[in-house]
Amino acid sequence: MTRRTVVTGLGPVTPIGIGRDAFWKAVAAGVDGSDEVRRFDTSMYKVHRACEVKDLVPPRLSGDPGPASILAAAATQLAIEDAGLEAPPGEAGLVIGTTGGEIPVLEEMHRTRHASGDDEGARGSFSKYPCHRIATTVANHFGLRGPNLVVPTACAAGNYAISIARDWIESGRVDLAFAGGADPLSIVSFTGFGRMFAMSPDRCRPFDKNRKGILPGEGAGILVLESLESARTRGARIYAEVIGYGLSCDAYHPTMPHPEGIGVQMAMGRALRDAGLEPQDVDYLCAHGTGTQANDRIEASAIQAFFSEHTSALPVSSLKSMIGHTMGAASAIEAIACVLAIHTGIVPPTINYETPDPECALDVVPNRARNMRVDVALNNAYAFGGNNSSVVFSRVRA
Amino acid sequence: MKIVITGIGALATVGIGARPAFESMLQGRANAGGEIAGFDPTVFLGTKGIRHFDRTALLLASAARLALDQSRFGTADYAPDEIGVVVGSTHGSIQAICEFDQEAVRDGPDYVNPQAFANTVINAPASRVAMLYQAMGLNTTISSGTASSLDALGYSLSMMRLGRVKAIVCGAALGYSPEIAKGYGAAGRLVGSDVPCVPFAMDRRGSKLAEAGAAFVLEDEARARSRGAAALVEVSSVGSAFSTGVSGPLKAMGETLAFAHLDPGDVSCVFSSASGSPLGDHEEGEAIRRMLGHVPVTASRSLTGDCLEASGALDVALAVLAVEAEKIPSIAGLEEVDPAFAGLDLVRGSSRELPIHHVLVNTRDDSGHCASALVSRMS
Repeated sequence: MTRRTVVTGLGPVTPIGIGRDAFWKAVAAGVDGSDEVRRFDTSMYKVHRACEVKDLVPPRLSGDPGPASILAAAATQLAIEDAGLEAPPGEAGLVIGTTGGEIPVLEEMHRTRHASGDDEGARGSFSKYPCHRIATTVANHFGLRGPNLVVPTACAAGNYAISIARDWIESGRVDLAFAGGADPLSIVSFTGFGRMFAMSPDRCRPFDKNRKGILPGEGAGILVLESLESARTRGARIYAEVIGYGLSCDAYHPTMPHPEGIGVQMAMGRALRDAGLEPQDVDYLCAHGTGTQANDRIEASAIQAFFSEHTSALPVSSLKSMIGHTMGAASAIEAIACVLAIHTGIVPPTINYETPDPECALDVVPNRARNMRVDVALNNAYAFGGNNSSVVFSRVRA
Repeated sequence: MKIVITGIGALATVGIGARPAFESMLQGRANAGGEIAGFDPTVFLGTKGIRHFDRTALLLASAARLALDQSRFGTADYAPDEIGVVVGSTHGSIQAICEFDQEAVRDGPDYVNPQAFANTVINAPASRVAMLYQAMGLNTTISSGTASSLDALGYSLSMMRLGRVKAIVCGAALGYSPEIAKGYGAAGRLVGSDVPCVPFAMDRRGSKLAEAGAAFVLEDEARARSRGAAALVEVSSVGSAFSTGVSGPLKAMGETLAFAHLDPGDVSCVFSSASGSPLGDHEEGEAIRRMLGHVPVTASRSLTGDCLEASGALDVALAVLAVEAEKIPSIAGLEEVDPAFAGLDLVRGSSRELPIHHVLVNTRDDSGHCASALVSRMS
């Protein structure tokens, strides 16, 4: 019999709430996590807002790691507690997605160098940069000796991490794995999106006619994935099952999505085929929904093409309206939202939605969360390089 | 499913092309590291569509081009959605990232080159390769320090066995980066060009940074045969471990052999990742001695330099040629061996000829990430 992968623990660290309950309460209330940037001086920039994680009490880690590692460790701690694991099993696997990893370590070096003209002191911190250090740091802190990877596939990385952990579990390589993503707010990314005129000066309005771009965010999301057998043996609370994933690549442009969303549709198709489902079986779609003109238009038309007449019955929302674009963490946090939608019967809203866009004719669950039964949720995430990913979650069948 | 390599491509300081690099290795021509002299990407890639590639992407794409050419990979052989790109990288295009940020610091955020922003994501080289060769099946970058390229190979095997794609261009590259040289220099991991850095040597003190790119075309043997492509070797298995000390390489090698259903005695020779690191060489050497006993061991880093995440991929390319030539190159410059390695059969002086069936390629990172791959003669 094939092994099945279930979700038994959730650790969200987000700009609107830390931990399962705080996060979900804020999602259900449609809280906007945007604020003036505190981390660095934005006076040289045209825009000044982002979604930062506030009031995080991070676990005490040895070796003074970078901020991505700290966010990932905090999320892992929450996931461990939420899964009811007194101590995580030593053979557990860990796979973390990221876009920029510990880029803030380099940013600090460059600013020290610029200010003092000398970087001898700052260079010592270079060893904290390589992105595999995120998984190393988290694993060492929690004593995880199973398979250990970072998967830097940009803004779809959380979904990629979940796909890898699922393969580990279903192949029998591990019984339990921590999977998710982490990215701190990065000056490089703030600068780059600013220079591409892709950032909103105020709020993030996915699928709204007057959307102005993304709001950079930061955060981490870690899920405890476990074989069904392992979860049942230890009497764990089972939130949902990971029943399929699909990947694809546009092979089209470094930063722009393919205009016809071919890769996006391919990823959704592969994910549903993997899950043995049809498009009309999907009850909720957690969109990539960045809030840029191009992404939302192309994503909406790809959804319409893929779901055809089912589209009108399909709620599609963007968490990024609330937490901003948390980059490599985004699809991990969105995966947590899918799981909680199934578990609680609450579908997240797309907030800041004022003016419908005929080019994004979707039921975006405008402004207010919706109570409805969700058996199957699809999580879409896309990235620079045309990386597309879809993961399917479902209520655990008997 | 038998997964085979039908093409290899490599660019290193000791040779542009896998074969020239291997010939240099057979001749024991040591190299001081740094940049690949005479690397002209337009030879491999032409001039169109590569203007915004950083050096790491250029090396990766060039290696991929060589590998695809050798495998005579035609557009009619696979549909774009059957082809994947899998890359091992842990530093990404770090030089491009640093230059982008330094420009913002120096000139202000309005003056950065927006085209360069795409290079700041760690998977940028992988996506550049996908665009050049229209690989739409999947595009994944894997990071586990210097074990990244072999973990990428392991991920590739699993994606093919799961039927998610039918062919994969797998590889790794590292463009020479002064930022890495300074950073790891300050950390004591890299040494200057005047300091010896011979693997397993008595006076080893660290490694020398060098750039490289290496890539292979992976296919199912049956599909390769049906399109008339020659299989160079089989990739029997990849194993990995996350453990510091001797147990890291021990577990990675053990898992690799277990996945391939082989015994230690089946291994013909080892491409060690020993780089001249006082601790790293010791841990891996001891693990090899315990697991494999007196098996011929070579190491390429005194020749190729330490190419970090790209070194494992480069060693796979060299191992393919070792299988073909039935020759194990010697460890360049190894004269006075550290007595701690008395129990190892280190290949010294000149290359050694012997029947080669299975080559074990090792990678090991100080973080505890270890991965090994078994490259086997076609049976």
